[in-house]
Amino acid sequence: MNGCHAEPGAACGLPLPDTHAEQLVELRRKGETSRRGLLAGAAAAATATAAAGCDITSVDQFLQKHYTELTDDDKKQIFARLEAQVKERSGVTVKIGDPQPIEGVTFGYALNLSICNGNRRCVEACARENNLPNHPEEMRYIRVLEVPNGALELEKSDPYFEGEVPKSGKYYLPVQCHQCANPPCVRQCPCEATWKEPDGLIVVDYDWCIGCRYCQAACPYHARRFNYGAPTIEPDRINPNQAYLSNRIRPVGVIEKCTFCLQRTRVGRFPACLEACPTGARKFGDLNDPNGELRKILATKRVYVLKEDLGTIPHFYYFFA
Amino acid sequence: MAKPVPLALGLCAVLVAACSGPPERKLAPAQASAREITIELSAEHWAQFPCTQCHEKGGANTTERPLTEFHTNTGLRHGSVGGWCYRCHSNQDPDKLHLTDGTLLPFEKSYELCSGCHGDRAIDWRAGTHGLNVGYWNGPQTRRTCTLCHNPHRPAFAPMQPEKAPNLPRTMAAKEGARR
Ligand code: HEC
Ligand code: HEC
Ligand code: HEC
Ligand code: HEC
Repeated sequence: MNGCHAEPGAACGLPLPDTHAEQLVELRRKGETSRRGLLAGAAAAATATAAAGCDITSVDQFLQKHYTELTDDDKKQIFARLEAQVKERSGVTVKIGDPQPIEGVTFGYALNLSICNGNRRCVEACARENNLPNHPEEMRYIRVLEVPNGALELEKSDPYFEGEVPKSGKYYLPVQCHQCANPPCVRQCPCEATWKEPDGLIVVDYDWCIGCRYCQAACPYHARRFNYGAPTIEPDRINPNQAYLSNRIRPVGVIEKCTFCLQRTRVGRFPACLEACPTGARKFGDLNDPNGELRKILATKRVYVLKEDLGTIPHFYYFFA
Repeated sequence: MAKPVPLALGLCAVLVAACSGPPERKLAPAQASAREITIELSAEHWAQFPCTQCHEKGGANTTERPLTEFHTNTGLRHGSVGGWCYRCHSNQDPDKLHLTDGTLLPFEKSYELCSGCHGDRAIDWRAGTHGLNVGYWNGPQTRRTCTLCHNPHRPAFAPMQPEKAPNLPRTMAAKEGARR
């Protein structure tokens, strides 16, 4: 697929900072570098950052540990700070939680292409659930492609279709993060700001992401989005039920993407896109549950994954039934 | 946008390098599957209920004809289903539907009627793979009945207006603007 033409925020917009990557590799090799010395430098950097009008608001935030190193107390403090930030900026009281993966569960998604009619209700519900900005830096996690029947080359697809659906001679292919078992995006991240969780979900620590966008370029499904601007969400559109690794309001300059609504799914609920689909094309569940819908679909329907030859092993399946 | 990328890069890389392995991850405990299914009915379609207000039991004119006085909007177009209205509705009891073998069904159980002719779909619907279940993937679910999505008289899923198309990416929007 041609990134430039098909993809908002595709890697063609800004040059990737190659030289920074080299510096970075250097730094990572020198693991023994004195942490203290660098932290001193970091404090200065934090001040510089604040002065530059970046979204990082405090030295605290700048020095925050990686998600996987946070203790429960750290989390409490950080979440409180983030909640206060939203309150201050928008007047809305939000609750940031951190629901954990469920023992023995691997999430999967299956989408029925014989049923989907391209109505984009999923796109809108996703935007609301996940606090996606509205204007002017609009971005959406789900893209619905209108593809000519029989076409396999997605280059021929059109995400900008309008007018009554379904149109004859077309089928509709919604694309969002495939939560790959072998995720190329994660491998590209120079600082472990994005990783695979035990339940198979690929997440981003927005406070750790540096916005280099290597992951975005690496994703064969164009599923990652970059925050070019500060979030602009009308207060009445803010969903107050938030999670640290998913739909909390993101700062400018970081990468984000679909997490199968982990703020919902890890407490047992269906993703917002599924519930919003009037056709019932979307199916979600635990791939490890032998009696679950997903396993039934995998066992009895014609199932496909996109770009199978790349070896990404998506947990997002397409089927016909 | 002035994000100081090099400084931030340095910091994050070094913090990762300095870390001595992540702490043990505590997962949420597994739960037994407790799927209770409630069927969401299409009661809002039953404004004319009870049919026995106007229809006597066994009193119908079962001759196939265009209806001109009442129910003129039924617009029956359901495959090659023979027997007209009475393939599904009961003359014996106008408030009921009936299966091929004559078994009477209340309107609430209309999915049993559909199942009689659309076995494959009905199996999928019961398995949760056709139609829509909302609620909890491993717990209580609400399952939409067939007639909430398919009007029994014209069952093809109605065409829809899509939500608005995505904005063009900035880079493209700028080019489009320049061209105009
Ligand atoms: C307000 C009175 C009224 C109610 C209530 C009503 N009907 Fe009718 N129905 C009529 C009339 C009048 C006709 C005849 C229409 C014609 O011949 O053009 C008719 C015709 C029909 C017919 C065609 C066969 C025949 O007997 O003429 C069917 C089938 C039918 N109705 C089913 C139903 C069902 C099922 C309900 C309940 C959901 C219902 N009706 C409720 C007035 C009513
Ligand atoms: C394929 C089976 C089938 C056939 C054929 C059929 N119906 Fe129905 N009809 C149903 C079902 C099922 C319902 C209940 C709908 C619901 O639960 O939403 C219904 C509901 C109705 C209702 C009440 C709701 C409404 O739409 O106003 C009327 C009146 C009605 N039918 C009239 C007719 C008439 C008149 C005909 C013949 C011209 C006819 N039906 C043919 C299955 C059928
Ligand atoms: C008496 C048998 C019978 C019953 C009962 C019946 N159908 Fe059908 N249905 C058919 C036939 C025959 C067709 C045409 C199939 C084809 O063209 O391949 C059809 C077609 C359909 C279609 C495809 C329509 C289209 O135009 O694409 C749908 C959807 C459908 N039925 C849903 C239902 C639902 C929902 C019910 C229950 C309210 C129901 N059917 C009850 C026999 C039946
Ligand atoms: C959530 C909405 C939804 C529910 C509930 C639902 N369906 Fe469907 N069904 C669809 C859509 C969308 C299609 C594909 C569009 C179409 O072909 O009309 C479809 C297709 C079908 C078709 C095939 C139509 C064709 O052209 O091949 C049949 C038959 C059918 N459904 C029967 C049923 C029966 C029987 C039930 C209940 C047991 C049911 N459906 C419940 C949405 C639904």
